[in-house]
Amino acid sequence: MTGKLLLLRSVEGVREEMSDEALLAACGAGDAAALGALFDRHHASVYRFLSRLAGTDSASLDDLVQTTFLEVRRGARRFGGRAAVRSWIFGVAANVVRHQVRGEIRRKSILQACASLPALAGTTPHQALERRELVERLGAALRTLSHDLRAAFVLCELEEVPGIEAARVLGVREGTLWRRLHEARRALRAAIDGEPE
Amino acid sequence: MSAGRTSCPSSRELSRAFPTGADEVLRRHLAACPACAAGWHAMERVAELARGLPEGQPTGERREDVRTALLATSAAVSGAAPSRRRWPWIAAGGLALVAAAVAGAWLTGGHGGGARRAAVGAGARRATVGAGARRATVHAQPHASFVLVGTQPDELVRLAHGTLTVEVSPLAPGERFRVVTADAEVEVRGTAFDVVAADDRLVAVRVFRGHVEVRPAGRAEVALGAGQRWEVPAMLATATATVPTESTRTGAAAPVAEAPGASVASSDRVSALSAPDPRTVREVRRERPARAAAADGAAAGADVQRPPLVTASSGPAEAAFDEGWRALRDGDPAGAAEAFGRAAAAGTGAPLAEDAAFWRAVALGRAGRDAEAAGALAIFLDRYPSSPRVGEASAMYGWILLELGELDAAEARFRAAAGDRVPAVRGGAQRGLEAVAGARDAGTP
Repeated sequence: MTGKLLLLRSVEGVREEMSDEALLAACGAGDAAALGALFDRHHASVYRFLSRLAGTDSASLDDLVQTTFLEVRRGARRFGGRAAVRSWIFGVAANVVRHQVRGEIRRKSILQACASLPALAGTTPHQALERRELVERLGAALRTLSHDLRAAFVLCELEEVPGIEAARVLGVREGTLWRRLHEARRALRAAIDGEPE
Repeated sequence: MSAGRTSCPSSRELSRAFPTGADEVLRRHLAACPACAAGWHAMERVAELARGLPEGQPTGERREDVRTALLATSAAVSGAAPSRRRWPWIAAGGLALVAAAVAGAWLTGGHGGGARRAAVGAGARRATVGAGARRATVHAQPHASFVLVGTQPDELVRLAHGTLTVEVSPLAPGERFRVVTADAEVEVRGTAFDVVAADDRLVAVRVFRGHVEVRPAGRAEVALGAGQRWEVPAMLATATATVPTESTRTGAAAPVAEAPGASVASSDRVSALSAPDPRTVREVRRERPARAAAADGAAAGADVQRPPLVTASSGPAEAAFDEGWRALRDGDPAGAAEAFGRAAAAGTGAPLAEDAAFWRAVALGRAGRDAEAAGALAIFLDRYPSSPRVGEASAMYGWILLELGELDAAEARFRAAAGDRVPAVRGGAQRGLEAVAGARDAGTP
């Protein structure tokens, strides 16, 4: 029947077996190894999320990913458990993009956006070309959306974050989230159909 | 989609239903309604094309570079980023009141089981009962902010704010239970206790059953048995949640937060508030290695800030100073600034004047009188260049100058604070420098 109050000791345990929440808590207490473990666990999805949200080149993407995880470390204490840690990190990343993407990144993105499209699985060269053009058009339209609409679309449609969680991590009401998602879809649909909104 | 729908859903309703897929009712409607089916198909097409967008994925080498840079940078990061540039004023005022309120609630909870009764009474949240993978019963007082993370064998509760009453059933070998705050960790082996935090800092521990050792950062360890308690002195609790620097009136790095009622470093005010029976508190007072203590402080990201120790209201300066503190805690920064001004004037040449001048500037900032706050900070920095608060004051001044668009001057102030001995001040200065750079990039302050 003893207890000890120990200061700032790293949270021990096998990190591979710790939950995201436990890692985040350890992160908030200054455990750098926990931050590393969180990075290992989520960096791929954060890269993907940021590449779609910010649409930038790899060097700028590296910076955004690093900044995102630094903000995760800074903000770990504020995690309230109201969303999955992965969703929460997406929310942090969205804020990073909102505040840090500058004109330089946007300029680079326009130059490189069309050069890195993946191989397409069209059944004929004509279909493949057509699809590629549509994806390019959609990508360009996505980049012209406002940050709020783009974040809603990427979070919900591409990362498949539930709407209620997406609303929480973006700090908006659920109804607002649905409205933004609807507007984003409408704008993208108009873009690929070549119609004015 | 409601059952038996006869009219078409709006496009917004369709959009909302899309992520989870059409239910049976909607499927039937789509099969019968070409217009809605076309809308649904268009959403599917957009989603399918969007999934074909290129995904950024790092190569192994890039990933390692980013990971290394992240961890290296993280080691230099401390504390949370400011949500606004005016963070010093918010920190110095709003959080202080929150911390004081929590401390007050604790202190007015009475001795013995008072707080515990409150915890399990109306409005309390019962987080879990030691079933399955958990060994602890956690009762949270209303408004407590905490997260249950991890289950046995490593059960963890992350407490940010408020009071928890925790009962831990005896743990099996290899099992652990801990309550973690930003600056401390409480680990038990089967006991019942209250733990209180304010603004992410440990404020108090009260043991009902079992045995707990309390070891706060840079302070003597205190062993508590059943029925005993440890609490950070009230003024320190307030200050911990105010501005994250370490300072005393004399500038000496005196130990703080010793066992209540038993320490030469505790203020009279604190002793009067807590006053436990000294006989029930066994001071361990094992000196920790300096390097370990320093590492603790650095990892905490914010040293414990210590407000001035006013031992007695024996003169007009002290009385005015006390009045300023009361006003600041009561949400009257203008009154506080006036009182601190009197204290500074009355105590010219005395150590009290230095603190009074500093807190006057803080109070003016809290009152939104930025220009006057800037003037007060300039006077303080000019008059007390060797004050332990110089870095903190410089950083505050920097934020005001930044708000005013004086980027060069702000940068100079942040650079002056960047070498401060307190990690949180250094961190704040670094963020200030980043803000200056950002303002320059954006072309607007």
